[in-house]
Amino acid sequence: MEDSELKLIRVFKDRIRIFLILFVFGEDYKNESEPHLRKVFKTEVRIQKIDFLLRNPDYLSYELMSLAKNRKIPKFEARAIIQRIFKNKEPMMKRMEMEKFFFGAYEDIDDVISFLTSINFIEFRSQRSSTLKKIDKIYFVTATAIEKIDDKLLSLDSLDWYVKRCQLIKKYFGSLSGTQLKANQYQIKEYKEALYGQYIEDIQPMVKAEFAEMFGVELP
Amino acid sequence: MTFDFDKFSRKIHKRHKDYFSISEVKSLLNLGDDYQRDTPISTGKRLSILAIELKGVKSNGEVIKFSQKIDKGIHIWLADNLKGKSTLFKVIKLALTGQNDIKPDVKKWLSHILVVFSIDKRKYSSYLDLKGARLSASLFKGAVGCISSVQSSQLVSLFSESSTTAYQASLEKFFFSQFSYYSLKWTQKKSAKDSHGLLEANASWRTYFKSIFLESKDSDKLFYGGQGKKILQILLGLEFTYVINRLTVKKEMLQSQKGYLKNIQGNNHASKDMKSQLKARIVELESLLSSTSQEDEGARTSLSALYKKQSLILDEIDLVSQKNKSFQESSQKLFSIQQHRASLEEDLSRARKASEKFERNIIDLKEFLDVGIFFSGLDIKQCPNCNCGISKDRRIHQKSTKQCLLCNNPFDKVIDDSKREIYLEKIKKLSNSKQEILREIKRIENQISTLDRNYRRELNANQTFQSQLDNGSSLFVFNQKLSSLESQISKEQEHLRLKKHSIAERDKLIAELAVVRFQLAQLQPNSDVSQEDGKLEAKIALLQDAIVELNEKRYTVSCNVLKRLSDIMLSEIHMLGLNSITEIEVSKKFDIQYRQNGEFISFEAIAEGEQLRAKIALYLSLIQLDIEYNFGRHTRFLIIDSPGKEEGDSQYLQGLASVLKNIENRFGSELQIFIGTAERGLSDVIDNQSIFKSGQFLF
Repeated sequence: MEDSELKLIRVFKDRIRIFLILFVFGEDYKNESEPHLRKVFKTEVRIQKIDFLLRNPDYLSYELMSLAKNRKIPKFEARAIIQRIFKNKEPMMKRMEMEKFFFGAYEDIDDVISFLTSINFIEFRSQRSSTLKKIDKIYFVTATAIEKIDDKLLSLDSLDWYVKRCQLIKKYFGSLSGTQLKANQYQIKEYKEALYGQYIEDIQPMVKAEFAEMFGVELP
Repeated sequence: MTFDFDKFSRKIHKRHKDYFSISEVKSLLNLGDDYQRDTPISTGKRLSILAIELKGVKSNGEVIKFSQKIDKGIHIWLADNLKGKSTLFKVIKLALTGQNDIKPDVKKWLSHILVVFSIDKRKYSSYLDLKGARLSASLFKGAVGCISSVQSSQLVSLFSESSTTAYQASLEKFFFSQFSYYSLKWTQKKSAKDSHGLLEANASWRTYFKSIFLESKDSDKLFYGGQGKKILQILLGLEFTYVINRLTVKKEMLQSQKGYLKNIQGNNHASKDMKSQLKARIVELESLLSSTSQEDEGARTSLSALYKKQSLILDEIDLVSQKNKSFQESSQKLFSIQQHRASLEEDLSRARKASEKFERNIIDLKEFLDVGIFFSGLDIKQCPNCNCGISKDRRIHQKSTKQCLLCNNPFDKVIDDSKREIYLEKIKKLSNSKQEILREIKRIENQISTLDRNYRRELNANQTFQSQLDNGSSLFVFNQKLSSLESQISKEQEHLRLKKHSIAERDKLIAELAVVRFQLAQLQPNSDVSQEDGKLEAKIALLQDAIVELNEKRYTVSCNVLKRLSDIMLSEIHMLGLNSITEIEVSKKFDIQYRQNGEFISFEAIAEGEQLRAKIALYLSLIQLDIEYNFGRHTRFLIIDSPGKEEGDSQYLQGLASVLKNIENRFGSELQIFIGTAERGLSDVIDNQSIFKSGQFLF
């Protein structure tokens, strides 16, 4: 495919992925003065870290193994999920590399947010944190978006994967803040040692090796 | 040159007229036209081997299929000892003379021999069928292409024989007429112990072939056997050689007759004591002879046993070599299967990556279609810059003007129906490409699994070869055994060679026994011998006189030829590094004398490590004499087997190499010389060479 085509595809991928993160991870929001807003999602850092797990099924697998190792989830559960991820060749088929910046994996999502705002799918606000040291970004999903994103759309093959993957990440890591997610990701050597501006490396071989050691079977 | 027989007879008659009339002298000296039979002018003919082909089966079942075409000039076969060089040369000897000197074990292997040769421009083919108990052989006029085409060949057979002796005789006749050779004769004692007469013996083509084939075992002799001078005379073709030879034989026969009569007379008065002494001596001689012949027999039996052992070990070596070869071939196959598999694995990995890429593109495109259609159907409601709402009018304006309502750039829907069709077509193409690559993957996987099966099969075979080699003795052990056996054989051969020296002693004993028996017979009372020919001694004297006269004449007319021969020989000897010899002289009696350290010595007195050089020098000189001065009758074909064997001097090898180069440059197309050697130092000296790796057999 041509570069212009690939770029265009990428724009749309980013739009739907970021929207679905806000849509799935957003908490219900009810404010009588803002009845058009239905869900709220806090901080861009959290978007970035969840996006990293969505775009890197090998890192997601590793983190699931860590949970199993620390007995936070049953081993068989982690094993089944990871086996499915590798059986479907997701680390190759779904991977979208991410660069590392000062605070870990990061990609500029301003354009995506602007677009989603322009079509009236989200609203976005910046506010000082309680400590006044930083600015927190808050994203709202609108009633318009919820109307448009119906079940029929979400059940399309191409979107079904995103929805289910977001739900899975939410199930195991949904309670973690952006900072906590970042801290977890920094435990991984390849992530930690990636230089500023460099793509974070693929860790499939390491995941396969640890999986074999942990479960006594090879991943496909 | 014309010869006046009458004048010669008169000259001899003058000195013997008291006993003979002129007619008696003429009758004694008359040999027809043979006084003019010899001429030293070269026939100009030369013998060249054009091709050799052998067929047969070795004792280990390996098929012998040797075939080689050979050019004129010098050709070197360079291979280790005992690898078939001498056999190849003996095959040529067999084809050209009918004499089979091939080692008994190898002899059994050969079924057919074809040697194509030329004498000048005429081609001939000697074909021998050795399958049966009797030799079946033919000489064809023309070149037979190969053994298998002999039967269908339309060539004229000059002669076909079904026995060795008949083929030898026919070949002798053929070559004698080609090169104007004839049998020089000599006399020898009858072999029967109780006989004291003389026999006439003839020098055969096989004897003369010794001047072509210089075998390593004869390196200590200038010529083979006691007839060397005769070979030299034939090769030089000097005038009067034939008549001198025939008159000498005649004289020797008369001398024998005279000796017989003298014995009879002298022993008439022997006493009875003499009788018992003679009887005791007979017993003593008989016992001596019997013990020496038993010793000889013992040595021969032991040698034959050693040859048998050698043959068995060579068979074993063949077998182990075959196994080694099979093991190497199998290992090579395994290696090449592995290589092939690795390259297929690479192809497979590339194909899988390509398939994954197609799959990913398909997923991305499908997703793009779904998401693109969804987002394209949505209207821009709000400016992301100022958060102001976008009016419906602006959206209508965008549709009609196709200008973006935010930036005014040309606007087109990302996905409409026609674009959708294009993307669907792309997805279809990508799916087809993916299917194609999946088929390729399947094909490669099948190839790999076939290779794996072959690998397992070959691995089994390889392990079997390996265990066979592990369980048996190694080539090293066999080679050690062979080498120790060879040293034993060489000791036994040396022993036999020494024995041969004592054959002269043995002959003396036989001669003495015959004389003693004869003397005893004469002591019997019935002896009644009378002097029957008073002129016998006079006849001998006359013949001796004529021989001396003819010898003088021959020397006078031939001394230029002999001088040239000596000069060429000296120069060759120097080129071969034997600078200690400063002069060479060929006497009237054809004795070749070498001046070394101021003394004239015979060939036999030259140090062992230098003899071969002197010998090679002589033969090269005979050929040169023919080519350069048009004298002599050498066939210009020479086989030198193992010329480096005895000579320890490194200067010799360098000298030999430079002589060969020199000869090749000067006479390359005029002669043919075959050299068989194990001396690797002689490689790349000349252009025509067949080099066999260490341990490799010629056939």
